[in-house]
Amino acid sequence: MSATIWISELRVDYESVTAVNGLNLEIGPGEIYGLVGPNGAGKTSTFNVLATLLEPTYGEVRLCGFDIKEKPEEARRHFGHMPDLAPVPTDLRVWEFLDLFAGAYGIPLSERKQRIEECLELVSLKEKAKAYCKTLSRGMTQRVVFAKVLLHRPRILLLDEPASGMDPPSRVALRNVLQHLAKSGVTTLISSHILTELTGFCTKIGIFHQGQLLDQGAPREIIQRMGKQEDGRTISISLLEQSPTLITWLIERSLIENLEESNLILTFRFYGSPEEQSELLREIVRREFPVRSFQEHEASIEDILMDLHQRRNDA
Amino acid sequence: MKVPEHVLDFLRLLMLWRNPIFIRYYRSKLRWKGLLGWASVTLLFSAFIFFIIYYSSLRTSSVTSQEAALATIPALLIVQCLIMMCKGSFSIAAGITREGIEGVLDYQRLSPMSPLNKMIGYLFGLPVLDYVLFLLTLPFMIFAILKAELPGAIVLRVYSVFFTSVLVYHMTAFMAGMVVKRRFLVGFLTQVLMFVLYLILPALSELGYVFFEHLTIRPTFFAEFQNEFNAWDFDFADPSIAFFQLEIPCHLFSLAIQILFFIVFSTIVYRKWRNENSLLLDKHSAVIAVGVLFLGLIGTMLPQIDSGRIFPSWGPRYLLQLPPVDFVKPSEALLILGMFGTLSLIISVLTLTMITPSRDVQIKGLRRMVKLHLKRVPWSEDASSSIWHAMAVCLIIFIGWWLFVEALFASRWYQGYELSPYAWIGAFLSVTIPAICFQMFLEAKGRHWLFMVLLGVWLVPLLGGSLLAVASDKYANAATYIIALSGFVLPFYSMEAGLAQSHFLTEAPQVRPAFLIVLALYTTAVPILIVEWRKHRKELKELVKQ
Repeated sequence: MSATIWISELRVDYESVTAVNGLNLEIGPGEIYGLVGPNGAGKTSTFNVLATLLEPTYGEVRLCGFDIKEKPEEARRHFGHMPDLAPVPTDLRVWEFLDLFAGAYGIPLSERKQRIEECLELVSLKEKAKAYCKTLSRGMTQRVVFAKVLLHRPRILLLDEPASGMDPPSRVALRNVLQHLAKSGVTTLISSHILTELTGFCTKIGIFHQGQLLDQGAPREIIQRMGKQEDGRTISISLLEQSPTLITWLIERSLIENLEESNLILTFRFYGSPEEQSELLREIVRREFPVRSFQEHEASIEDILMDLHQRRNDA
Repeated sequence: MKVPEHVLDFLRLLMLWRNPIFIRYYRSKLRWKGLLGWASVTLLFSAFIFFIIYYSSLRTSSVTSQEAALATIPALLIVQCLIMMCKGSFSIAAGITREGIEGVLDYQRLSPMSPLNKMIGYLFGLPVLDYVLFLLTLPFMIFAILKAELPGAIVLRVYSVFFTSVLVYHMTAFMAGMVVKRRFLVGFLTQVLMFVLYLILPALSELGYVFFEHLTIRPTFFAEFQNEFNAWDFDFADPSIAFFQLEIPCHLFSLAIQILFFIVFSTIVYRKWRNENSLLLDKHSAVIAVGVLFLGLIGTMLPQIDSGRIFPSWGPRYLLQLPPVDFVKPSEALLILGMFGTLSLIISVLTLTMITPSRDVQIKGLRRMVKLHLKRVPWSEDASSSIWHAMAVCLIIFIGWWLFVEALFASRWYQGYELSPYAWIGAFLSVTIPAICFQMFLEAKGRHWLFMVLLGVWLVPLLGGSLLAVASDKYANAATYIIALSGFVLPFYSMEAGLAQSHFLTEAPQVRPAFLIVLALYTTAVPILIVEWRKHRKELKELVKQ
């Protein structure tokens, strides 16, 4: 078994609600696996099981080869977990908080100071080492917790919506650190409910919905698969002024349905190929309709999930 | 010679200065700003108490300086108790609650330290300020001990019980913090728990339940100091405790009881630490704990029957300096026997609450059973039904109770009186049937509905019937029937009914029919509950199949 994270038949129930249902997953060393799904999809339950915080109904989970049920203490040495909106103790200074966990993870006293400084450097918070945790902003708090996660050089990172609360530069820095760590063989499982947040740097993405893994693969593959929308795509045209002739012209097109107008914006569903879509745009420009912009809406995570669900049902 | 690894592991556990959680609290709780304030207050009060007692004793009682120093010891010990037991326990309850609310407790769950190491870190780390304040009172105490020429053995015995007592108090608070899910209730529930465990239960020692008195430092203190304070009347202090045929030194008995409670509380914390959703105790351990508790209760109560200390009239007679009891009224026997039965029933329902799985846990267990192709949920798992263990608990409490009943009637106080030969059946049913009904209802319907039913069936009749009884004599008979409905008083009724049958007591002839009718009602409820319970199990299995 070469997978660093190995999940088999995982199921999590809360009374009659099934949060995770029959999840099978294998993530190899150095992979950055993005788990995408809407709120309530079961992502946090999965993370909590992996982090040994929640006992599953059944299923087997191995982290670095250690069964988390049989050897939780061993497994804990190898992962770092960062929960959604990670808290920090308010009565400690940043370095004290990190020192607590450096000790808990058995980092020798002689190495602690240097290791804490390294981790604070990684999250660009070295100057805040002596500040009280309670004085930090939300984004800074997230970064401190991320530094805590990195302290013991874990081989697995479990990051549940780590970017929530972070400002754009911090997000970029987080991505860079994760990519850097991946090169040294660290496996990352990261979740988000925003697909585009993960596509840039994840090596693999899994679409999670209603406790099930609906699809997984490289981000490009997933996007390509999502792009094949036989049931059309949504297009909106922004107008400079009212144009009844454009509306009439669009209604007459056979590939257009569900045309709606609101505040000089026309929205409709287009059922043609990308070439036909290009042709439509050229024709609008050639006929000199008072158009300000022409935009294809990216599929939201909900659209993608609905689409996948539909395809599963059809199959 | 090489020291075994497990011995080294144990020694490492005790090295607090290497425990990261202890160091964390050492840093946050002992910052100069906060420490200075608390230290000043403690020093000020300790000094004031010491000097005011010392000098006032010297001036007003014309005693020697040695006796004056001796007089300060109890007061200083009270200050130390306040710091360690009250403030220390509060520090633990508040600290755990705060960590729970902030959400940082989970970080500690995830760190690879052993649960025992984490527990020790919290147990000594959260009250670290209180330990420092305790140290600040020591100069006065040491001076008093030296000046009073108090034997070292006494100091050692008192302080060994003091510290185990402190640990039990702290573990109680720790347990409350870990168990109670509604964090804002932790402080309140800790206080309630402290009040019951260390005030109400020890007060029952006046009725022979000396076992519970040993949860506090009080018996050891009085036993150890009775020779020192010649002027003080400590006659009621027992230097040793009779346990069945054995005579155990008071401090050793206190240590044993406190270690027993500490182990039970630690087990609960340990289980909650490993898995937040686990039941408080595993079923086998709970049965063993009840067995040991009853062994302790019976072992300490039986030897006291002969002296009459278990009778309610003993306390007032002693206080009023009346002659020793030479005859005890039958109503006294009823009271202590009924009380023992009711206490047993309360212990059994509390135990069942700890080991009966919730609906969620049961569903999980059944799903796991189906997945692993098992015939039933393994006995040792939390998800298995607690019905068999409930029966074992009932059996233990009945045996304990009945041993006490028989010993009482065989004693010198009731020679010539006999208990009905069938009384044991009524007694057996009066504790087992309510407990079994409780278990089945809890397992089938859950805690919320059980609470409502207990309120309606066990509490309202008790309160309503009592009101009727005091309202007018003409309602007395009706009140007897209504009160009987409450499961809590059934043991009282069973005793009274058993005694009435042997013409021992004829003051309340309606008790026996009331008891029989209510017992019949409860017995009828059992098959109904069994049907409900089976329906519930079937429903869960159906749900799992879906």
